[in-house]
Amino acid sequence: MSLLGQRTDVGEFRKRYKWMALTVMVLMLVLVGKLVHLQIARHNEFAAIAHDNIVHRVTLATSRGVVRDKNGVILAASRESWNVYVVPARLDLEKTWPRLAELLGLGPVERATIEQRLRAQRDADLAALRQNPKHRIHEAIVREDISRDIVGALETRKPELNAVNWISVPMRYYPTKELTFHLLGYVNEVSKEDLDAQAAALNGGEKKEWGTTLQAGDRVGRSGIEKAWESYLRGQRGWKKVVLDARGNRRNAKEDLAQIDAPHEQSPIPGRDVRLTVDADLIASARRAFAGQLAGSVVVVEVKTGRLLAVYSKPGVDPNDFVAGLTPKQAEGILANPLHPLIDKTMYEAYFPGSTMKPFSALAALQTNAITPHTREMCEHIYVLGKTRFKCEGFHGQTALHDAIVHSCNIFFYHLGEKTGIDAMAALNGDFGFGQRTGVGINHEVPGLVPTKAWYNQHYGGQFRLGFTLNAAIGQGNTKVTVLQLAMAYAALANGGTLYAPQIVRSIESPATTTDAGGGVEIDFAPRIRRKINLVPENLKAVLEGMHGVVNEPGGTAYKERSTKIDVAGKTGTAQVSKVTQKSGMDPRSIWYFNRDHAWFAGMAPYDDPEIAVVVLVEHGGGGGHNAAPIAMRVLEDWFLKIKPAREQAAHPKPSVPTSPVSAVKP
Amino acid sequence: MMGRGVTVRARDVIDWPLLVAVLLIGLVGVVNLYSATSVAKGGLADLYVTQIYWLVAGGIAAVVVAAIDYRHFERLAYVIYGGGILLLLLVFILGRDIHGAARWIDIGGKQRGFRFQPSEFMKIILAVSLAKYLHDDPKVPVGPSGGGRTLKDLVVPAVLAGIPFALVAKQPDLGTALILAGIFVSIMALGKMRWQSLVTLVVGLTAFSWVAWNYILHDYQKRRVYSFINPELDIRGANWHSHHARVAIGNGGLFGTGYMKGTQNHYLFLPEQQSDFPFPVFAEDWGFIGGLVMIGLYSFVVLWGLRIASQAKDRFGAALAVGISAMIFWHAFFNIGMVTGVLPVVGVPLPLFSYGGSSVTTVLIGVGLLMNVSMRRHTFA
Repeated sequence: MSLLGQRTDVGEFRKRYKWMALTVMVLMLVLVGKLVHLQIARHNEFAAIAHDNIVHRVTLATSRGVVRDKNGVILAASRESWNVYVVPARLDLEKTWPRLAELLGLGPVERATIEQRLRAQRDADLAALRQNPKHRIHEAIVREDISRDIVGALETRKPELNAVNWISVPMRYYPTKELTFHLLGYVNEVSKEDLDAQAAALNGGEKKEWGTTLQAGDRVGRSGIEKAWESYLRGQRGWKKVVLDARGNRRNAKEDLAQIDAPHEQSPIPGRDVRLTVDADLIASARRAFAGQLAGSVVVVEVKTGRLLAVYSKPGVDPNDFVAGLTPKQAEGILANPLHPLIDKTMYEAYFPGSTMKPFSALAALQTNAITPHTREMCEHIYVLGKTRFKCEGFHGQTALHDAIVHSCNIFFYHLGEKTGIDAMAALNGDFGFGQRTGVGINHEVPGLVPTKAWYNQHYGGQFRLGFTLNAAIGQGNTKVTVLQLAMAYAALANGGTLYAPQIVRSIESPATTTDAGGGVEIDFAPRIRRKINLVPENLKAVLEGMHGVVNEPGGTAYKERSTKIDVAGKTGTAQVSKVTQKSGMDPRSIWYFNRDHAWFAGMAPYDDPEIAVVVLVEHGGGGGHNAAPIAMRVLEDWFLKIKPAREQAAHPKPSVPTSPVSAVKP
Repeated sequence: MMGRGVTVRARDVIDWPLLVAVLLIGLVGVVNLYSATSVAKGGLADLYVTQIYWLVAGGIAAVVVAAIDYRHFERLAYVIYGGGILLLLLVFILGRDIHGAARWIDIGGKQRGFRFQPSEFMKIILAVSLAKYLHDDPKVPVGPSGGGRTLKDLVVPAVLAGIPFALVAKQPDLGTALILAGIFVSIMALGKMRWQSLVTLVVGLTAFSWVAWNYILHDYQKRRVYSFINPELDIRGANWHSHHARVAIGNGGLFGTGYMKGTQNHYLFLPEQQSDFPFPVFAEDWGFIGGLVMIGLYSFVVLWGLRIASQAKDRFGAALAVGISAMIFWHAFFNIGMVTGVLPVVGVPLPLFSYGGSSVTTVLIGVGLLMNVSMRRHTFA
């Protein structure tokens, strides 16, 4: 080819270079435009994302408040425990996981179960990331409450454990175990339902506040003091910003920490401590006294303040099991227990009070002048009303009020009821707080029932009958009370007619920093009077003298069980129960037990100037005198002869010696 | 040819602007690679040293290539082409045996070296072959009113490009296949086509793609196309990569976070930061200003390459210069377009910026060829 020819050939291309150059410039300008868009127009947005990618808030746990008894004995506190978490989306399941499983000493079955769960979450997280790159991946718990040795082993092998974190979390524990189960309740991990409910309450939007809202992993009070005083006990979470790389590893070098913007952290606010009015030693005494019985409850109350000194419900459960999470077997065992260990028998269950109601019936009769203390009735064991024969426990002959109380004569009280009328008795019972919740403020409380004529008309198709009145006079029929109600009412009898609201929390204290003793008192709760009942002193005196006779006069229903050391007044009760039949599905071998009457004793001491009232209910215990009274006597003796003197001695010569928790709950 | 004259006038004939621009890119690339891999532990951290070795080796290759009169390449073009295809077939077969299914799992580091070598060099070989075809094309239109090429005239160059395209696509390496296609289209755009044929071609291809996508392909085949376009979709999600690349770039802002201070790179949010994603590292460190400088440098090299083409003394030289410029341009455009989100994620290295022996060598040999054409624009046969 000639030189000239080649030049001509090149000419074919000549027009194209400009177009090519133009194309190159336009496309490059598109890139520049995109850079302007990303780096200038949307810079702030991406800088924020970049910041959020690496700077994460981690929760600083707050410490839950300590619950102490009146003397400072710890009933609920937190101890350090370590939990192991992994980030499933970042975890190397082929290398890191087997190493971790080995270090944790997981058995093959457990290991396979957890691995399956982690795999599922990893797949879900990765799928969500694919849909939405801003999706936040989450940690998953592998093991709770590992031993210090394992923590040490993990620390040593930290470099091999990518995306594995072990975190110290406070674990709730209850040194007094099942003794205070119903009183304190327990905490456990917040459930998905709780979180959903919270989200709904917050109008669906997740609240930005870290302090007060619940988060997954939080533990909340589920019953008892733990639930009712949750807002004081819980405290407020804090947070701290940390730097995490894309693999989920914490970066702590100086230049890493420089990435963190202010504010760097918010300190947690520890929960408040709660001091109760109860004495743990006295509750332990109640448990000892109950050793021979299967189920029931005890309430001891200071009659001049309404402060509860002891509440005990048997059987209980070890709340520490709930904190750790019940195994299915444990849960099944608790639910299947016919003695209903979860129920607080001091207030969640209402019982026929039986003869422990007679002092109130008597007061109603005296107050309305239906009888005088000298009115006599003839007891011939049977009281015939139409076709029904109402029975007494004995043949008491001509009986006045005093002996009727001492011997618990039903016939006398039938006559008394007939003269007084059901509504007059109900009115006085209402004054003493029956039929109403006491307002103790913990757990679920039932109001019980004080039936009136109107109530019977409503529930028995307008067929009010005199028989209802007779039953009401002796605490049967439809009258139902809780042990706590009865204790508060007896306290009112003992203090001359002042009905207190039961007080269980004495004070709120700032958390202790260095000692076990607790910080300063922040809120001190004064006794709360519900009402002063207008009683004629002579009427009250007559009834109390009768109650003193119950314990101290030969033939009194609790005479044989009386204390030789403490001057006690009280009333026994034997309450019939609804008969269980074969059809009820109950184990036939235990039906005899569940058909036995409930045994009551309600009383006060010392008789001259009562300080405390005590009520004991033994479920299916049989006769109240034989079965409930000894328990009450033992508790009263423990209190007046051992516990109270010890407290006074401790308070005066050496004021600063707190009782150690161990000695306080030793059975 | 390489006698006294060249030696004496070397300083005068060397294309200094091209040389300086390419050296700048390579230098910035090494500096950026140091930042990009500073976060990595172990072998990756020394990549910038290896990259310097490759730049030196590639530079020597470029000098050798520039020194040989490009008309020797013109004469041997089809021989070289045949050799390239053979090599592609050979390594394709070997690579299949060696890597098999494993490449789908090993996303951490692509073993570019051995497997990718022939396909990298195939880009240049294709440019040489297509230039040769245009050089020899008998259907050179005479005069401004000449008829131009018809579809029939495109068959031979289409086959020349189609064979390596198919082989590379089957590996599968869509990025390199797209670059081959880009080189083909760019070089063929030099020649005049009858406008009727062009319209027929464009309309026909569009219609065929539409019909195929909607009526012929089954869903599972479409999914294969998707995963072919984006092999990593099945593993970690392509969104994740491009999202973090955009975050890093956006985080850079106008002036950048400062050298080695880009957080997204530092905290490992940029995958493949040494091969496919060096630009986000740079744009985060140096901001919009840095990004603008880099785009400016690539634009300069490409436009300068077109200028060299326009001054070439023959058709082969002109077409070759266009082909090389196109190769550099499409690499830069695809890579930056991908990381900024203009284009879908396709693994294409950024010339001289991305780590990789074969990529660096290929680009530098291409630059050597550009230099070759540039140096010989005034010499006569």
